[in-house]
Amino acid sequence: MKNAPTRYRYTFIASILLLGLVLWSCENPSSSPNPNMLPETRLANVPADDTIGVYIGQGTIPEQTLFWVGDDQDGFIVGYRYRWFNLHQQGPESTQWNTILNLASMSGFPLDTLIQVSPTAASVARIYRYFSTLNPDDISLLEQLDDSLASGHYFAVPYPTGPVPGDSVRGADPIQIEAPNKGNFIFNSPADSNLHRFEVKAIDNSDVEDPTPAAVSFWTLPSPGLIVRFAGQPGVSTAALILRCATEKNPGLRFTFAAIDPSTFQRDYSWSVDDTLHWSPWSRDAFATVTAAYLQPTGSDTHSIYLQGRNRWGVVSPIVSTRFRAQVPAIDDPAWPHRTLFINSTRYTGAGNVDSLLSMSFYTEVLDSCGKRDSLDTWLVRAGAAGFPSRVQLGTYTSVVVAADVRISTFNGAAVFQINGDRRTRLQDYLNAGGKLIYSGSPDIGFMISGYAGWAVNYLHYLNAGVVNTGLDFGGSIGTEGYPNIRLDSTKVTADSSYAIRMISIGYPRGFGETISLFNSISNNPGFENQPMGIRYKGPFISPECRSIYSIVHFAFPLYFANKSDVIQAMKQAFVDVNENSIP
Amino acid sequence: MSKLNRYHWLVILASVIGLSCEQYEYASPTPGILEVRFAVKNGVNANYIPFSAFDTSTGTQNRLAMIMNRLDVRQSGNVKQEIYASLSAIRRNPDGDFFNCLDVAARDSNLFLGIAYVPPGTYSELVVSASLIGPIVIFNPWAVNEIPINPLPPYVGSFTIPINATVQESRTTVVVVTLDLDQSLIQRAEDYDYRIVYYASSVQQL
Repeated sequence: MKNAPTRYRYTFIASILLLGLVLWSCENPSSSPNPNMLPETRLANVPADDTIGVYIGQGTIPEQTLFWVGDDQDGFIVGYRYRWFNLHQQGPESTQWNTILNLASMSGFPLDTLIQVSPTAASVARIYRYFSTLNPDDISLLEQLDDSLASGHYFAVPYPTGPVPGDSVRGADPIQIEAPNKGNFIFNSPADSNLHRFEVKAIDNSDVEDPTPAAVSFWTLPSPGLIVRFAGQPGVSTAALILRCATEKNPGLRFTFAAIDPSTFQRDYSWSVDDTLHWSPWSRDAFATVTAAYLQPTGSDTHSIYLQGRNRWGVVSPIVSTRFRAQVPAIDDPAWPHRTLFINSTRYTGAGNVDSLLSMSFYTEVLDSCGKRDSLDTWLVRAGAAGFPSRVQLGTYTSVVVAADVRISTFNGAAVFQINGDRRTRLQDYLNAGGKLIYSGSPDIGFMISGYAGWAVNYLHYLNAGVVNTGLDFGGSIGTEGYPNIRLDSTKVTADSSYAIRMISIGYPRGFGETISLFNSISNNPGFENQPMGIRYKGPFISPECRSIYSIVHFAFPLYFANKSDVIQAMKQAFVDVNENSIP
Repeated sequence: MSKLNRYHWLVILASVIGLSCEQYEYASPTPGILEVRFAVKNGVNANYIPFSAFDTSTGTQNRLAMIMNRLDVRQSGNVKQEIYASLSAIRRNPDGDFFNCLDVAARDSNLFLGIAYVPPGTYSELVVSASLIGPIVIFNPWAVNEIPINPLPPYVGSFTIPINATVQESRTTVVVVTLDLDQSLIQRAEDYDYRIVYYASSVQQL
């Protein structure tokens, strides 16, 4: 056994040796660091590499899924860059390098779309560090970033110290890039044999790229095509009225499309009107809404629409076309002058009815007093299709006044021409094209306008078809909303009819319909006295360049039998309401 | 000199601790009260959607419902205080609170949104989480008229309204938030589109 001093001496020597060993093993900080080791990239080699035999045997399609892997022995991979060449006979075409960050989440927050880095970015590693070190509790920022990525537009990386020029990102196409190391690409394959070369390279955390990208070459078969057709389109028996600006009541002509595409079940459509030069952008929408803005001059109301489809592999179908008929009403031109058409639906059939010439005279005088003397045309309705203004004729008038006034006590259907069938359709089309209608009303209006129950609701804006007072009870109207009281003309409505009109309806307003007059009941019938009858509907204004929604004033009783001075005041207010006059 | 005993050491220690303490004055003011009232501006659209009082004979009232899920005031630095339906309330109705924007009380800035004790200071923002519930229902003497409303995208459920309101100790500050229906509603052919526009129309100290 050694004595204590000797034991301490050995311990001291061992400590010195150990310390020397430790110091000797330490790296000398003054020497240069080890060089960064280059990242490496490998492809999982799907599809099989480059043999024509494999290509034929596998029947390779233009859409291929590729996988790749990156390694970095002294760091980690922050992103991948990939591109490919299509080696056509006409010469190669290449895509630019696309950079995807090697991140599937932001600090654990799952990404809806992976992060694609702008080609202008100076440092992929810097962007990687930002997105991988976000505060996981800052949900607001994470959601905001995720939403911004989903927009598909490039945005500057919001570094806490401010943006760095060039450092911007966007969301990658989620169908094309499912993972940072997986891509589903469509290779343009127009020819019988199509050779492609795909390259990918990893980027490490020092922003160093793999100098030798992993690459694979392969063949694809020509892309099978698709066939498109029109699944639905407007009828061609009549020319529809359409406007340059779509409105709620005149959205344009709608065409629907369909396609036979057994290869990809996913296609875009593009369409063009009257020529094959001005194609719409490719869209998944299997429909087109054609407004007058798309029409080209053809010399008639017949036009053509052309359609082509493109499938997921980029194959474009043959063009198909169909014809349709459309006209643009003259009033769609904002500079078109204001003109009024008076349509007299009263029949001139002799004794017992209202003399249509007297009626015409009465209304002409009234409309002259409203300042329409130089801008008024008249139309006496006759039997047959030519007896009522056509759509085109109606479309040249900014306002239309319709009267269907009959003798009250002996009313029968032969006294006036009904607004039915094609007459009603033309009037509806005119309204839907932004027309203005003032309707004097008529007794038993439910009979006078075919399908009145729906018309009253949809066009006049009554809550329903209303209630008819069958008795000789209507003694005039009480005005509201700026309209005057309208008294009956005792020279026309005489003691023979108890100074009253029968078969007048009351009606309640719907939506933006407004009551303009109340029923004055001779007998003070509580079901009718002071109940609403006339209505106005003022269509909303859209813009100075566009035709607005139609407007209507419905007086709900035949004005011919009313005091002329009252009618003039009421008619002036009606023209103001339909935005045709600034008077009275 | 005699040795210091345990008692002496305790006295010395307490003295050292006592001398090393610094006396602070802590401000603990009495809270003020912040009350939020609601007003609705409706001029342009008044023809179609007028205000009305509750008709006790028919049990009807014109209606445009608003449901409010949250109301709070904020100071700079994101300091916030929730405002409930009364001073003694501890939370809002989990289903939200309903208000009728066409009540005459809304026309008169008298619809009561909430009240709370708050620390004295200046409050810069009021945050309202609310949405409109359609349709607009109008009772006229003859029938019920309904006008649908449709929100314009993007959907916004929470609105930050600048108020710049000062609350003083033991005083009540009343903020009136106005829903501007003229600005919010866009008339279409048969219905309204809307994008809610709020602003603080007055701040008053009582």
